[in-house]
Amino acid sequence: MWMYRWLCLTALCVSLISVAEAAGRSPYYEATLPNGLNVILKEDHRSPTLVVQVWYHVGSSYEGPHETGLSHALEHMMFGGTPQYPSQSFSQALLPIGAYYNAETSHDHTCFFTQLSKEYLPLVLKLEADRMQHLVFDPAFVKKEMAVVMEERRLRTEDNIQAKAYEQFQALGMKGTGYEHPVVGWMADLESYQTADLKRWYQHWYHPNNATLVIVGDLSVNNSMALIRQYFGPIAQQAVPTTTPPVVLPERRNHTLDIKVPGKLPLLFMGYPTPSIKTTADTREAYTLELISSVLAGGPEARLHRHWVTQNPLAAEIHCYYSLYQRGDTLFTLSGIPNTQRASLEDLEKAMKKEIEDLKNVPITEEELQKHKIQYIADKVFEQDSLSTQAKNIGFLKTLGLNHKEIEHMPKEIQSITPADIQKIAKKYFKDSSLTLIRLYPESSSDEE
Amino acid sequence: MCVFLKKRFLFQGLGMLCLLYSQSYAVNLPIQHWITQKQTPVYFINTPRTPAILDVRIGFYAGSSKDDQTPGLAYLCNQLLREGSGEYSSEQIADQLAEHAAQLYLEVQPDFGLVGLRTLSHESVREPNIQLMRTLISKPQFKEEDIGRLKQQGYAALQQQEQTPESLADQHVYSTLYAKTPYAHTPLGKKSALELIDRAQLVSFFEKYYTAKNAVIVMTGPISLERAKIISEQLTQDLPLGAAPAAEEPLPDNKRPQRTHIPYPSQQSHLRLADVAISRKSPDFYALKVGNYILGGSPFSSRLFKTIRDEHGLSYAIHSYFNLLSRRGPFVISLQTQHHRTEEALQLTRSVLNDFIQKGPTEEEVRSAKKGILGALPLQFSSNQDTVQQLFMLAIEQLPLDYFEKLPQNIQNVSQEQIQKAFKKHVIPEHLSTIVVGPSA
Repeated sequence: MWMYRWLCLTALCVSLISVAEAAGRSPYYEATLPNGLNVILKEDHRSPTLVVQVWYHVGSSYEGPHETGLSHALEHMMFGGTPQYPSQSFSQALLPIGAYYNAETSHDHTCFFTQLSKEYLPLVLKLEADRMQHLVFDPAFVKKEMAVVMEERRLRTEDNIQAKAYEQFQALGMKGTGYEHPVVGWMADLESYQTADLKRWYQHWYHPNNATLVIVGDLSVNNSMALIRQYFGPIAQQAVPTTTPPVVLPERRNHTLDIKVPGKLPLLFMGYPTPSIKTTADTREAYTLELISSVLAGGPEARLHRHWVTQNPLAAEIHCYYSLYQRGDTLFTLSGIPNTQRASLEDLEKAMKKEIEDLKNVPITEEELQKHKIQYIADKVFEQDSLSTQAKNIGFLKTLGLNHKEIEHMPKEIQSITPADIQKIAKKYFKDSSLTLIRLYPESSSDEE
Repeated sequence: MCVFLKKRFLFQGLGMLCLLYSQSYAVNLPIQHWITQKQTPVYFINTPRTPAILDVRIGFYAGSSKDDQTPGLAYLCNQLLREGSGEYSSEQIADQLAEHAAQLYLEVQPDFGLVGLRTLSHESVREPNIQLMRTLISKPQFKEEDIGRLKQQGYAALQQQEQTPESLADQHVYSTLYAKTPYAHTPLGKKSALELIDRAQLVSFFEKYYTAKNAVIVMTGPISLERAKIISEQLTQDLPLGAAPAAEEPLPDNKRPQRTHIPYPSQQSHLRLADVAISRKSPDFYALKVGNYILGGSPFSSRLFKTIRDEHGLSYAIHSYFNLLSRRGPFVISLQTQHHRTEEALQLTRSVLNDFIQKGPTEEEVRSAKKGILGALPLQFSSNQDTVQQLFMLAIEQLPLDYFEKLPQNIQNVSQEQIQKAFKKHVIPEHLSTIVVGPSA
């Protein structure tokens, strides 16, 4: 009976792969301008809209001590205006056409994105090319916008118990690497920045030879390339600081930290250093880690959820994160909140560690693995629904210096992973000697009723 | 409300076609509409160019406003739908969804409960997923151990809210403005009430509200009209007929505007200025929509954003909105700032609001706002997910089929004077309540 089920699941998986491949296989066009700008265009003619993303190859992992948060702060400053389009004219130009725009900074990149009706492509390209070269750093704007950045830090981290704990978790687990400090930066650094610091960061990193332009949607390649050459072509390339080598984590680092803060819910973070798709010697390892993440906590059918939220509810919530697309090594992370009606944080910790041991010692069945492969590949199909996600996937890979078409190989790679792979990788990377663990214990504060 | 119910019965048995298309803001997606044998209204958009994804949502008028004396009942009932149904246990349901590559999601808001499915449209998985969805909405087991477990998850979620200042602030908007009405509590309710909910109450709630005539179905995907009709019949086949939603009275104004301070050990104070306002049925809806875009709805260019954030750097996230609940939802201005600048931020916010209400928007602002709102329309239909969300809103709020078709004209027709008049009528600054979550002074 199980054999029959396994055959059915395998058959489904195989047909899913062809669906996924068909979904991903829309026409791509790729080029590099003489000034080094990477360009990738992907056609998707579902609706008369486009997503335009400019990715600068700089993020918080490029920042040294006392430079933390500069990339994210610069992202804010990019809305400060140029001589041709003074402050707010960016929004004045884009909002009346109903464009949706924003920006996002991460460890390894800064991305400026706009979604809009296709006939306005020339406008957005003009604006992006303009601020790539001519950004103005008005001290009054800089001062005010730094205040906004500090409010953002307060909102997202200082006053968010779990985010604050996660920040400490990263600082501990990624100590000595570019991922040690948060993307938003440490408050002390933010308070110290002058206009000159931001200007310097812009002058170092914001050049066409350090950027990737991705456009997905109802585009015509010829028309788009003509516009791109018109607006970006004349921008001169400039030397970019030598990139720090990929962050590599030393083998042995076992850290445990207990934190007490005002709050209501205990919380646990566990992290194991692992390679990303960029730093791995064998991409199969990275894809295996992706699948392990799914096996552990991909959904209600996954192990952590099934065993400890459904069957024996020690946990209120359990999650797993693996950063496939990262410039350096990463932390394979598990987090959990105990069901305080039944269990303590220590109970949950024990349970989660047991799951890790089981993964190492007991081979997963083909059937269970197949179930997760199906979910994973199906998710890749669902991702194709969104123009933004399609563009982001391209951007992630390209800014890592990888072939963006890697996305198309993913379903087949995932399907090829065996139970032996799962065990091998778990044994290789989930070691006690390299575990970083943070326990958060809530305490009541004097400011509560 | 009554007008729309009548319209629904008129369409019974007919395939009703309506185009989302108007002038230069073309969103060329025809809406098909019919009623199933069990009298559930269905809305369908064929999206042939989407990757092979079918999105299905079933909404029931089973929101937290139906909790009556048991806050949390609608929420718990809805969450339990995936925990044991028909002959399947919680685990078997999870396995089936995983094996057939489906995503299931559940949600409760004040006005509705929803069960959503995202499946590949390929028949080999679509069929079992639709069958499963049919079971989930009609045969929940409500097992005692699942009830107990989900309550405990609810307690954790409530504690999460209690340690999140933004959630506390939002909660208090409703408890302040809607005290002693069905909108006073958030769907999770509170622990003391959740604890007391028993199986009999859940079954009774389910039997009353999860019925065919109390539901709407929406679908978007690359399937034929014929297939969509079959699916709609399959889904509703096992539902009892039930009763159509009764017309409900709008909720009254808040009699006592007040300033509330909720102590919380944060660096920022989280601020809300709010009052009971309108539902989408209000004749002033379009004027208020355009006006709010100018005041605090448009990201980056609204008056509130430009003053509070751009000029003074006081707040990272500041905006205003009308939450269009069916029995009159609130108007809210939301921001956060360093604790010691609370009064400064509140004063500045009120002065921007007062100025806007007294003098109204400028012609240029109105022109720009209309272009912005209408220019963004195609973006709201640029993916299957976005499209099903828009369609669900139309269905659950019983909007006319030509709502999207007429939207551009309705927006264009709004005048500067109308906006000023509408805001003067519906947003009275002295009547706003103030909520502050942050450290004690």
